[in-house]
Amino acid sequence: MREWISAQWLRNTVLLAFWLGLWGQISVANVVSGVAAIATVRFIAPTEPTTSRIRIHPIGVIALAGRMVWDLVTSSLNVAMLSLVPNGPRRASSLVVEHEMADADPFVVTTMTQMIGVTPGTLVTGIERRGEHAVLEVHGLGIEQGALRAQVTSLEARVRRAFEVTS
Amino acid sequence: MTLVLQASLVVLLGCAALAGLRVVTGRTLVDRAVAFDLVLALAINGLAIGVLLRPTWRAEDVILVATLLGVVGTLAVAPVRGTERLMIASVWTSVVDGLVIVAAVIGAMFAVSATLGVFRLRDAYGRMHAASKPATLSAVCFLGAAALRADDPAVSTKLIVALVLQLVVGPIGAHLLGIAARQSGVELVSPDQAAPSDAATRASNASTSRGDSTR
Repeated sequence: MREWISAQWLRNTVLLAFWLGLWGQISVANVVSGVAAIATVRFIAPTEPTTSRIRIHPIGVIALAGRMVWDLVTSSLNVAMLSLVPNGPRRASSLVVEHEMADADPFVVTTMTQMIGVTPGTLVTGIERRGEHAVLEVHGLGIEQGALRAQVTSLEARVRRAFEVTS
Repeated sequence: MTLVLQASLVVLLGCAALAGLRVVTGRTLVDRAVAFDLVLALAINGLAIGVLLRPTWRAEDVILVATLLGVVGTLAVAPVRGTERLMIASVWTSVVDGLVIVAAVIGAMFAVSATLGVFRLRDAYGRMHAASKPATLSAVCFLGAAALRADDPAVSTKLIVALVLQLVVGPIGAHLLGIAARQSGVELVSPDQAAPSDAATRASNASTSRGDSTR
């Protein structure tokens, strides 16, 4: 059984990796200054405290990442075609649907929003909380309403297969 | 390869000029913000090409700063957005050269379509899609190519950081602009009347965009 990781520490780790990437190399000084910088940033700009714990499923993550790359390519082609074809802009649908999530976990909501941002012709234009659930308002370009709903629903299932979250 | 890169640069400059025009003439504040993002993304692409053409030119820090500037800039206009790059080192030079050429051609094509989309699509939301997706892929192409060719691993790493940032920040910026647009009541434009096959889409459009004006 894999371990549950605290969302806080996952975030700190990602920030440190980002810091090291900015400097371009790993050294003791870079790690120490990175830890100091992250502590400072977290102190100056504290985020809402979260008690979420995450269990990462590597196969699910790889599937999700592969899907993200594929989505980025196809969504770019899709929007590019709409922009280039003579009648494309006039025929492209532009609509909004709401998607109610299974819960309102910030990590899952953030991941979903990010991935919808790279999926063919979709963009999150609003997030609100309704009781226990987060509701995403998703804008679709050049896609049918039913297809858009199905796409967002299957994306949530894929995200939850990659990241098991508990509060 | 130099020829392809120079041609890409010319294409990018053309796109940047058009996008710059859009920054001035955009119909709404949101449109101008979208265009501004596009100009920045194109500038980053141009810098990546610069690195490819002159390997001794250390522009990776400028690229990172420009990426972060993209975030801050959009934050200033509405609520946000940004940019970045890829990996691996030298050795198999000819393979890498081939990849660079392919990336440059694809990247230039996407830059053109993003620019056209920003002008042609009919509502602000559509134009956000145009600016965020093809522009992101275009930046990924050029930054990835530059990272592949860089001799210094530290440079490659920074370019990859920029690439990943681009992937992360692009959608965030579009998302924030989208929220701003919805909240300020920017309207959805239905498909043209001249396309009857889309009648169903139009009907559902009307039902789901309710509340637009009351938000």
